[in-house]
Amino acid sequence: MLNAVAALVFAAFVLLGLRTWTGDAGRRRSRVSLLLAFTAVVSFGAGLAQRDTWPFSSWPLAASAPGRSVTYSTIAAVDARGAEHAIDYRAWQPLGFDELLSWIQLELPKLTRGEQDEAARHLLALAEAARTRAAAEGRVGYFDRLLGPLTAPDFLLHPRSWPPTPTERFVGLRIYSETLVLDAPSRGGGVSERVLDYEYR
Amino acid sequence: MTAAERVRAAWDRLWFAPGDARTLALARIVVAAHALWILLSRDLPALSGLPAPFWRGVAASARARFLIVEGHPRIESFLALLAAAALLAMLLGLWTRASGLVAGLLLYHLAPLETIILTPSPYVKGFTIAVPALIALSLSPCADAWSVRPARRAAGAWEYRWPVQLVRLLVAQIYLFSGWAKLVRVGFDWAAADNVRAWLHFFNQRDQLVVFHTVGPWLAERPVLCLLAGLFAMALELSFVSTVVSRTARRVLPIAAAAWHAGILFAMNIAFPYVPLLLLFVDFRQRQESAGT
Repeated sequence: MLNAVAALVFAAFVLLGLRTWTGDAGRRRSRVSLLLAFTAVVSFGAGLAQRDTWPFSSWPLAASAPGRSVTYSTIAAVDARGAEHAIDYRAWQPLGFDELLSWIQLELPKLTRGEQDEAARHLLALAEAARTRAAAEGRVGYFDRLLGPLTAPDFLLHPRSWPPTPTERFVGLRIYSETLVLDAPSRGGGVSERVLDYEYR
Repeated sequence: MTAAERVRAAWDRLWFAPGDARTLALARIVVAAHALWILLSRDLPALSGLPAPFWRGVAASARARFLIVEGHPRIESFLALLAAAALLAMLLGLWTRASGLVAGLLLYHLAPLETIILTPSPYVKGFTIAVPALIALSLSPCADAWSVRPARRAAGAWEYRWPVQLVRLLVAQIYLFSGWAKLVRVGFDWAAADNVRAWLHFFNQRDQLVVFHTVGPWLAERPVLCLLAGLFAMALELSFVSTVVSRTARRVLPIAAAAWHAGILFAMNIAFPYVPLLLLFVDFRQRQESAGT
């Protein structure tokens, strides 16, 4: 329902805008006023009601209270010798690291086992291709292919895990749920629990 | 003067006071350059080629909303190339009616590819302002200054004002609604030291989120500073909308916001992609008048 409303809102915004192209100065000014009033209503409506109708967003940036602990998904690669490796965040490109981990946490469990394995096979291929590329060329991802160091960073920064690049071929993936206690390490903060949710070989 | 006349006069002052072609041209350049920067820093078309399981949870209504049909990365590559060309034309001030409209519509289609497997709203990914802003700018004489092909005849002064004000409002809403969302979802307790400290730990304890790890943990151990940071965040966010109507606010708050984002970068490892859009609050007429007084 919200998708349909948001689509209609955007279509109306464009159509009201196109109407301002025609007419004499007085009529155009009236039509611009209508466009502005419409945009104000829909954008303030989205924000004040906290109902996102992108591109008129509700902007809920860090708007919750994280509480004492959070649980999130992590993903690790397994090589042919059974050793586990962290995967550099750039290895998932074109997927965004944060979207991928949130998808794994929220959507992957809803899939059948066969679908989960198909998704994992694709992710393993991405990770292994990135590992091979990093080992051969020193490049993990490719988002910087055009702008180099001027490439726009991710919304959330991530540290580079590679180099050192793992030398053994990746043959599997493991997905964990990690629970993090949000406090100083001296008061018990940090990762408190790590549970294996899924493994693909 | 009746109440209706007063409202009408205030409306006209807000949107249709005489504007400056250079301020509007700056808005065109900043919005187009920013969108081009984000577009060239990603590979949105490739996301169309994700295997079927990734698309399983995407609602049909979300696909229809953005005219997204998965499995066509080549077509999406062509559209992304067209969007880049349109943004470049907009940046240079060429055929801005067509280039702004085409760029805005194509980004409306392309941007959600980045998050659609999770959510149809890519609001933090960099294109949220660009989509409506490019369309609004395409309706205006935004190439009358700083263009490789400037107009032969100047437009009415009111036509330089409203698009700038609209784009500024959209940027100001980032802050206003971010503050409002905190009030609605948590209340004034959002600014409490414990909550700010929890956020600082959240962004400084997950090993895959931590690039800068000095400022955040240091701040988290100082409850008074956490409280002040929380209060400052809410005050800045809720007051930023005053930049749309106040020249004084336009002189102060965008600079304060830029400094605030720098602090968030080092304390919380968040690189807010819309920071360059704070340049939209530079006002050229204001500079002229200041120089004359």
